Amino acid sequence: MNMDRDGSGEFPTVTVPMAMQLICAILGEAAKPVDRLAARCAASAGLKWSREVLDRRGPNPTTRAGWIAWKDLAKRDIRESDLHIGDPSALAAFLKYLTAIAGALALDGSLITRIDRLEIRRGLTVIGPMLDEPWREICAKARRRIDQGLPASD
Amino acid sequence: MATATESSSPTPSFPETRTLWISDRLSEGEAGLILANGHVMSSYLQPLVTYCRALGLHTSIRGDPQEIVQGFFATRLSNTEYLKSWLGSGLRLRQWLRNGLHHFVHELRRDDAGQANATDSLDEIASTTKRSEDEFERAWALSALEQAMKETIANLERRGKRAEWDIFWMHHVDGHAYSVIAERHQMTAAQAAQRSFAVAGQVRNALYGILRKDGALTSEIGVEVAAMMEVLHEHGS
Repeated sequence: MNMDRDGSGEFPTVTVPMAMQLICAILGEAAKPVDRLAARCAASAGLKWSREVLDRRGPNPTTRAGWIAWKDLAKRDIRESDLHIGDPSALAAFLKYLTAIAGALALDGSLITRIDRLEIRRGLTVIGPMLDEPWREICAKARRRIDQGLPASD
Repeated sequence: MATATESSSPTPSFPETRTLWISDRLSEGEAGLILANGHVMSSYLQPLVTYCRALGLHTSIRGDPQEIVQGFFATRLSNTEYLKSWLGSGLRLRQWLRNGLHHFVHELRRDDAGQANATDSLDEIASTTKRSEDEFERAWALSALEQAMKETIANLERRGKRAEWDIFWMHHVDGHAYSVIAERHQMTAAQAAQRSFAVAGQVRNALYGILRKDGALTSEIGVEVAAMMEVLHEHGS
């Protein structure tokens, strides 16, 4: 847990998840929520953490209204200030929020949020591959939907 | 090692000069050159070895990537003009060294095979794949962060404040709440947060100092850090 030197006296090597966490720490409140979430998901127990967060929510909705309800529920638990400092429960809510948006997009292409599409796309691109199936595929499908709908200049 | 002065980020009142640290060292004669070379070798060895391996540069001359990079350092850094040439290049030091490694490998290959069979190393540079570039940038990001950590820890240890690093690490990397950390360190949660915040500032200053040594202007550091995060994402996923 601590960054103590090991028995060999050598300094431990910085891993990619550690590096992400360090950059978020350096940036403080200026760190982007997606970067905070990515650092959490990339950490050693990150996959287990995201699986538990998403499993606790129950079976996936089969309608757009269901995804919207999930999105609204998650949004209620997101406090911007907590999110920017990487508070674990705010990050869990943000993960639920992002995956609810992904679920609706994958279902019928609905973008159930007013957040910029490119911002959502980045979230899906960065976080999606760090999740278990079926979320990995849902996020990939959602991203394809966004790409199909974006103007040619993008 | 970055000092507090060179790591700080004042708003420049005149156009900022790139690469101040290395140009200062080079103006100090042999002792400065040794310092500059030491910095280059400790900061860029691993990223260049990673790059050499990712691109397969070592296979064409049947060498070990680490030995090739060490050979590259030995031949280039012994020439006092080598780093001076970089100062006028407009490139980040890491990019300059990466290109230099290509030329070095080309020379080795030419020596092995003779002039007639040698390929143009500039063509090789042009054919560099994005994947190997990303691997190099990722290795550089990890190396820079590791160096920033080492500097910060060494600085804290010198002042008998190593425990403050542990507080920082427990919160930001291990994910413990300040209340838990505070109990372990017999202080209040607010004190733990305050100390962790101070350490984050020290790591930030150390990292910014390293980026400036690589050739970034203060105004470009935000973009450099964002680029570091992007290239780390690609690996994390």
